[in-house]
Amino acid sequence: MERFDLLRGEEYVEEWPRHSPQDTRRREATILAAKLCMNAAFTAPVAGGVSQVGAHLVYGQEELEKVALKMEELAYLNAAWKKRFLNEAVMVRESDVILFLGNNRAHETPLDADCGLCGGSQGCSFLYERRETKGGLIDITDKRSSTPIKGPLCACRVNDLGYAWGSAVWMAQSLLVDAKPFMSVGLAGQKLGYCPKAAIVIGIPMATLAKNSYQDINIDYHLVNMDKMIDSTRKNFSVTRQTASGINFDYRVQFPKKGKEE
Amino acid sequence: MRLDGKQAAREAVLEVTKLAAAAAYRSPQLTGVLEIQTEIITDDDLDPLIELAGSIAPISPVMAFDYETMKYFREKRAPLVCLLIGAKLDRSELAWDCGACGFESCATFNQWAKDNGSMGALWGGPSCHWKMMDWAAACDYACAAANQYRMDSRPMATIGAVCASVGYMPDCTARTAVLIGPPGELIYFSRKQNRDSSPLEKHKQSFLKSSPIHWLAFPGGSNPVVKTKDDWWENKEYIKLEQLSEAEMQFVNETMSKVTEVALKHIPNITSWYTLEK
Repeated sequence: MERFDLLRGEEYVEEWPRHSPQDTRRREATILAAKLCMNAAFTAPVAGGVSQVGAHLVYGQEELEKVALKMEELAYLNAAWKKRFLNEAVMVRESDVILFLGNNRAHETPLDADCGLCGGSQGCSFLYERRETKGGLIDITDKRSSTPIKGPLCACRVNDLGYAWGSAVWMAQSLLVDAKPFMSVGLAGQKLGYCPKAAIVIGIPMATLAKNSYQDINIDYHLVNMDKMIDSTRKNFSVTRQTASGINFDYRVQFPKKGKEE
Repeated sequence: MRLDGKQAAREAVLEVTKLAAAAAYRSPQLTGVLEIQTEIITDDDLDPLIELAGSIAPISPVMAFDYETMKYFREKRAPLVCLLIGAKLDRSELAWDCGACGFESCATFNQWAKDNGSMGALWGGPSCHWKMMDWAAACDYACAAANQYRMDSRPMATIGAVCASVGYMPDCTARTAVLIGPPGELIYFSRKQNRDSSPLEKHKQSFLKSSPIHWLAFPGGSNPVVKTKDDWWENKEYIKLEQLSEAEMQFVNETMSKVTEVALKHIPNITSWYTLEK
């Protein structure tokens, strides 16, 4: 048998029902695109061309749900987060894949260039004086923190993370894949252990659906969204089919009477 | 109609830069609240930047590197355009209280910024890390847009700082200069235009000082010889840690005085643009 004979087959693809085989095939292509976005992030311009980005790809119904639940949990820790986090958790549930990008150097191996982005004229002393250090080396073993992210971080390194996710989203846009970078998704991912070496993480959910999952978000989206609507239909239709006419019919022999005018 | 292709390519640099600026405004944001500023600097207006970069170059190899590149293109009258992208990052209305900046809350960050905010070597600080990444993504989008047209670009913190020094974008705390063009193959990598200013010996010295461990002889004696030449065992040389000498410090101070002098010469003209604008 010629080896090219193995390259045969057919795949039916549709975005509905969610997580059906035909939808899963579609998602597979989004994951492929996400991998290209991830590599685009690795090639983004960074200070000195120093490798510092870590990436984590997360997909699958249960995995995405876990991230969404963590975002909902975090939403109630800060009044300023609540709306964003709740809305964005819905977007995560609608996504095919999340690309997490983190900076692995911002807390431990700063640029050390006195650039001023973190503390102005104080230069790197701003960071070193606020961190546990010994002989100019930063000790990050103590993970305790009164804030969600333990700072200060090297702003120049974090700036580089901006270039990285910028390139990832640019690539997504070029591939006509819907994607949006979120602080909320990144923070939830970080708390769940994704990008384990990173000091700060951004989450980029991606999807290839007819309707962009990250735009045209209505008010109280966490209450009024596709999943909730579908669930309402399921809930109400079951009742309605029994009670709409105030009577249950035996479909084999009984039909509702037509109106007089008919 | 006939067009000279080389001339057309030269003219395209400015057009691509305008599209790069448009892309910067199209970049996605984490915060949704950052307003970036952009300006395009070309032709004679590049000269003050080159002059100031040249005045810092003697004490900053990184600046020297970018200065030599700009100077070379300018002297050749090659089309080089600077897209300056700035943002004000030292205030946060987000109230996310994330702690990444090192402060307990956005309120304490804002207060500290108000009391202590200042300019560092390249940028001002402190900076809200989320806004900062939005600004970075805008710079990234500008570069990516230029790349779509196969026009090489380089985001330069050095030239952004130079722009700040001569008065560009006074309302911003951070500025990055994205240099675009001239058309050519990977002009910001393997910078052959810098060859004259970076002789082999300088290159060797730079590597030796930056990564001495690569040239260390047996380190067991705790004061290893550094292999600085082929016959390194003759007239051995060792690493010696010391502060800059008085003469070296004086050179730094004198250079910085010249930098200030150059900046003061150009600030009135450059900042008058903003005054007129208002």
